[in-house]
Amino acid sequence: MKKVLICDDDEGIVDVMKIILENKGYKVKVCANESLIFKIISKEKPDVLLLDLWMPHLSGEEITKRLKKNDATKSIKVIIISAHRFAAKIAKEIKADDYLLKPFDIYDLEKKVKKYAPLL
Amino acid sequence: MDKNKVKLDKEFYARLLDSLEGYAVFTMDKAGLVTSWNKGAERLLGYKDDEIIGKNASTILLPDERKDGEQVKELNAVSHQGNIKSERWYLNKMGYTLLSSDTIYPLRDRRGAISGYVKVMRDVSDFRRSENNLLFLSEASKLLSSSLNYTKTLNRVAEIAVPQIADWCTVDLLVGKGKIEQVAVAHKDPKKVTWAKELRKKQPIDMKTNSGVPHVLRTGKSEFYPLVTDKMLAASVKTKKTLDLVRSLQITSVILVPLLVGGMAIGVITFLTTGGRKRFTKTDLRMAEELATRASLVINNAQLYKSARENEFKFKSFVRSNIIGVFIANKEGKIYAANESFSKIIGYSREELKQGKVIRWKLVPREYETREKKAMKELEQKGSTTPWEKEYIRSDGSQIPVLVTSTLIEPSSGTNITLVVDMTERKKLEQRKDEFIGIASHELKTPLTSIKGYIQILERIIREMGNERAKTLISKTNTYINRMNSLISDLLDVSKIQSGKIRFNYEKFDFYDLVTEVIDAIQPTTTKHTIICKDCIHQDIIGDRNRLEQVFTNLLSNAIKYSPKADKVTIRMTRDSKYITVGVTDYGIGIEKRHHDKLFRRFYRIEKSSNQFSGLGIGLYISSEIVNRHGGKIWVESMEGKGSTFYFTLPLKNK
Repeated sequence: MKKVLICDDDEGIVDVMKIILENKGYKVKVCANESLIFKIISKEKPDVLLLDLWMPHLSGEEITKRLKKNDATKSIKVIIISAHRFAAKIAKEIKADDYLLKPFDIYDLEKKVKKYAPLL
Repeated sequence: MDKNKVKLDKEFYARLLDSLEGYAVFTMDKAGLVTSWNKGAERLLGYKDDEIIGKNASTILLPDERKDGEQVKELNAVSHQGNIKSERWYLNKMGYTLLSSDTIYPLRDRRGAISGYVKVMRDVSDFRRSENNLLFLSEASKLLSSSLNYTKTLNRVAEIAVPQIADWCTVDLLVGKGKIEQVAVAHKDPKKVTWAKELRKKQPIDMKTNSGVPHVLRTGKSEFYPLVTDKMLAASVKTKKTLDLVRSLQITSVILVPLLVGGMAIGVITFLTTGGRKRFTKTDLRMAEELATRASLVINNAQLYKSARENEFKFKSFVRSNIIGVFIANKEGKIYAANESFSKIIGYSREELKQGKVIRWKLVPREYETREKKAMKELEQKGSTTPWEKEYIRSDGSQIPVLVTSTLIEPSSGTNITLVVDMTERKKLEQRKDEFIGIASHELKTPLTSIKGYIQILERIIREMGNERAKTLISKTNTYINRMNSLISDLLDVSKIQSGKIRFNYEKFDFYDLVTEVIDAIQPTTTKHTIICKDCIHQDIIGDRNRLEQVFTNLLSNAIKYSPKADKVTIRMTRDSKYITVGVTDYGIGIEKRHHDKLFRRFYRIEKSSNQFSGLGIGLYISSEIVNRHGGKIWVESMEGKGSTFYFTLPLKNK
């Protein structure tokens, strides 16, 4: 079973993504406090990380950069989820795998996750 | 003695005397009756020999002196002292006075007894007149240049003009429109000064008269009356009472000269003689005009000085006010004067600034050099610059945002003054505003993301349940969520355009793809309209795909929104060698011509439609910014009630 980790500080968005993805058959883990993200990643070893850019303690950019630098974590597919107009540009700069603009379409969410974590 | 010889002597002397043209020579008997009269005397005094011989020589004296028995006094004195030299005034037959330098000798018979007198006269009127005039002019000039208080000096000038030059001298100045003030009066009889001032109060000057002070003020030309006749007096006044008054002044001769400043008469100097003593000549007129010229120059200088002082005072108060930074620099950019505000802005002390250590170009960071050069060119060509924003490098190396404008204050040397407004607070405020809008729109979008997600989940559930009505309602909800999302985005965009922070990600793409994608996205939002792509062509362009999508979406949504009763929207694409042109045509309410240009302004809403159609009035503003920044144009062709076509062009090759 493919594992998706959602890291966003907004409960509603987390809940929506969880419903959609669990319905599709993914195992969904949530990281509500981004300072704990590296601990959770090493424990859960997700296939895909859905990551918000603006979070209070640690920015999505910083998290992505650190994950992509580390051999153990660089294979984790990072999809930036942001309301930022330049999310596409930022995602490219920090070497994230993809991005999704808020407010997103649930079909797009399914499509993107499926692309990086195909269901058997 | 030979009789012939005596006769010869007599003829010889007579001829000799006649030949002395410049001299008047005449003889008198003991009683003072004229016995001989030469040609010179005829010329000088106007009487022919047959008119005067046999008459008393006192005929040629001034009336007053004649009354006083001056003739007898003089003859007595000569009898006792021998010859007497003197200078005195005489009266010509024509009635004008002349000054003569003369010598009188007694004539004696063989026994030495006095048998008569001979008077030799030389006319020195012009000579003395010129001498007096020159003396007066030089004294007056000294007085005029001694002080800037010209009313005071003019009064002194009038005083020294009396009695050498005139018996009466006045100076009138124009104060305000059509008002004359007598600033100086001098009269040989001091009592008359008070009297003259009183007269002026009682009888204000009639500004419309065709002679005198008002006339000179109007024409700017001198007036010269060598001999004032009773007829002239009668013609110059209106009532008998005034005529009597004017007659009593016994005016003989008058000169009025204008004081001209900048080609305009601002005052008049009047010289008068009274009692028939002296008639003015052209020599006097020239002197008076010369005096007026010099006085005018002084008045002009004094006025210029006064206004310069006033301006300087105003300027200094303004500079000292310290609301904004002010500095003065020369053409080479050397700053040599600045106020406290400017000193604070750039962090150099005023001493350092005064010493000319600061060159304006060195205050300009590299990134603003081009703009600075453009401004300096504008300053040179137009005399001033439009205000522009830039930064200054402070003494500690930090940069400070400022708004500046320069104006030439001395075009010949290129000296200019620059006003500098510290924009730090404003920039901070703008930054906070941008941050606020950024955060606000993010915060607004976050719950919107959840709403959209839940609605879509709900949509799926409803579809599984097969409730058609609920499905329609959910689909409509989705439309409004999308609209809300784009409103939030627009707000953010306006803020970005305002702060110049809008940036584009250029990429190459087929514009046809963009058009069809947007049509596919918009078509489901309308049930009435069919979006028809009439001449849609494939064309690669370079641009920001997301931003151009925004433009096309905006035009297409507007077309649908403003044509509620129509059933279609048409899209056309054309291309020439340089541009691709996209037109979006609706068959809706249309737009009055007067709004066509204004439509693309920020927050512009057509009042009539703003009640009927919602919106912030920023969509077209954003679209036009995006199109312009891509090097294209956007415009509208429309007729009220028929519909509108919005066009935009995009260059095939991006700059």
